[in-house]
Amino acid sequence: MSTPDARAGEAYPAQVLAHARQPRFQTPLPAPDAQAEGFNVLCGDRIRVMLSLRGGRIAGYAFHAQACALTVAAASMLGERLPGLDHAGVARLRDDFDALLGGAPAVPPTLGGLAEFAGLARFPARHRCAQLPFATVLAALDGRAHATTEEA
Amino acid sequence: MNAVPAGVPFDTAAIRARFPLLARTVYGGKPLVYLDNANTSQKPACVIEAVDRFYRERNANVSRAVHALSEEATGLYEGARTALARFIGAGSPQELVLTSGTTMATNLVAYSYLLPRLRPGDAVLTTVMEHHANIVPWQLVCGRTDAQVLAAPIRDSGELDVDAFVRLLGPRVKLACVTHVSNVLGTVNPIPELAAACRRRGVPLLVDGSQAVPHLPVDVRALGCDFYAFTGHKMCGPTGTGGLWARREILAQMPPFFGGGEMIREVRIEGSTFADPPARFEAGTPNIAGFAGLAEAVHFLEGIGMVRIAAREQQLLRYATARLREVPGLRILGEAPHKAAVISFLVEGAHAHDLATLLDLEGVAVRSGHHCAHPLMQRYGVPATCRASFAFYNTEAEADALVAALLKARALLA
Repeated sequence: MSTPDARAGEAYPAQVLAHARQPRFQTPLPAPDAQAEGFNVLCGDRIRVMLSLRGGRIAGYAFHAQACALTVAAASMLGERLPGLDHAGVARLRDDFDALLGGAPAVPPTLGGLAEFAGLARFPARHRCAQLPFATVLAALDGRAHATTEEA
Repeated sequence: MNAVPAGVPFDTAAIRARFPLLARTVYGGKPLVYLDNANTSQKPACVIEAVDRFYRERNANVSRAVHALSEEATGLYEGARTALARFIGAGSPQELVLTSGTTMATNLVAYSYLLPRLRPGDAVLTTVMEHHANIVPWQLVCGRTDAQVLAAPIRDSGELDVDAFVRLLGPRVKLACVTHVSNVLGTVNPIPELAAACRRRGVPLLVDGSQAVPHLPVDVRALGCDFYAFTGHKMCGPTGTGGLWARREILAQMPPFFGGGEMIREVRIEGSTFADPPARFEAGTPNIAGFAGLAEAVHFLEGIGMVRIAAREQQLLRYATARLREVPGLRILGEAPHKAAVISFLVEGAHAHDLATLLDLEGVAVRSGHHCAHPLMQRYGVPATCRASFAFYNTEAEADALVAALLKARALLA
């Protein structure tokens, strides 16, 4: 069995902590084409995402979060994968991320840096935190104002 | 009761030895530091064995058959009622309805007592520090009758604003509902003072005793309230047990809420007559094994003595509070002068859920989140807190372990 320190490292690897401390994509978009708010009431995680779109594909992304380190880091790292994706592309990315959290043996290459979340597979109570930014971006693309990952 | 005399030292090691679960470890050998007692308490072996013994030796339904087992089961169940009634200072066991917990107790009052009395424009007065179980049932019945729920404010310290509460006790208020001890702030509310104010205005008072009965000596008649709800699983008893105490004359006026077996006198297709309280409110087969366990929990707590338990937990509260103040950036939510050993806190730069995950990896079990008290979180403008809640079996060393784990978590996250 791994030590507590090793397990802490699985939930909070260095790259995840780095994004949580200094998240990217913090500059609000002046005129977003789509936006939504994600809120997990049990956790208290809250995130607002803004998107600019070009031909149905994501051209710009920003977020503002009052949330735990996992939500903030996932939102920041997700932003690096979003440019050029349409709704189907984000949904595929979300499915790949869910598979990663589910303990999939092979990490889909599409995830890039998000593969750092593999260790979170052992913390099922925290999956919804990392999943919230994905659900919120999809809500924005769907034209829905709100998202949550607490009602599976 | 055979409570230990007040002068005898509190033998925490001997008490801990009676709780099998407290000996376990987590994550490869970390001793468990269980500080989630406001959520549910651990159970001593005598309670676990009482539940086991019921199913091994006495399992039968209550009050229905004349055979020996049924009489024994009925005796156990009614014995639990008697023990609980004595434990909370009820005038008679007949004033105590056995329920699945506080939530069922408050819902019973909402539908059986309150709903038939509510008219459009009426109100129920509660406070912003309530658990959802003492808010949502009132909202549901008020929604049916065009009545409203009012909430008395609290001060920044976590104390109820008693003057505001009294001002809100207007002529349209048909019931006031206050927690005895806040599950988030630990605040012990001045129930006798509130009860006196309610009585002057003819408003019945319901007290949510979920966090009080396990930690303080409770005497419902001395408190002066009209209803007192509590739950068994927070007082060393099994889940799915609890009770509603109410004044006999109030219970006598209340119609049944749940219908079924056990609560009737005679059933005809054209109509039925109902048993007297408390059986009138106990339709169906109750949690007999659970109440056999809860009766043991009462004997166990009485054996230690609630006065001594309360005093020991105050020691732990003082120690843990002082230690937590050493953590840089830590802010305690709820600093009422009169509070129970519940400490909610925030740490600058670290979200409550991240802290709880990292504390857990060190073996320290706390709760994080909104603690079923959204209005209170909104009052303080925070999304979530961490909460360390102590019981008499906790130790100063466990408070030290909490602080050490917090410092480590903070270093990782900051």
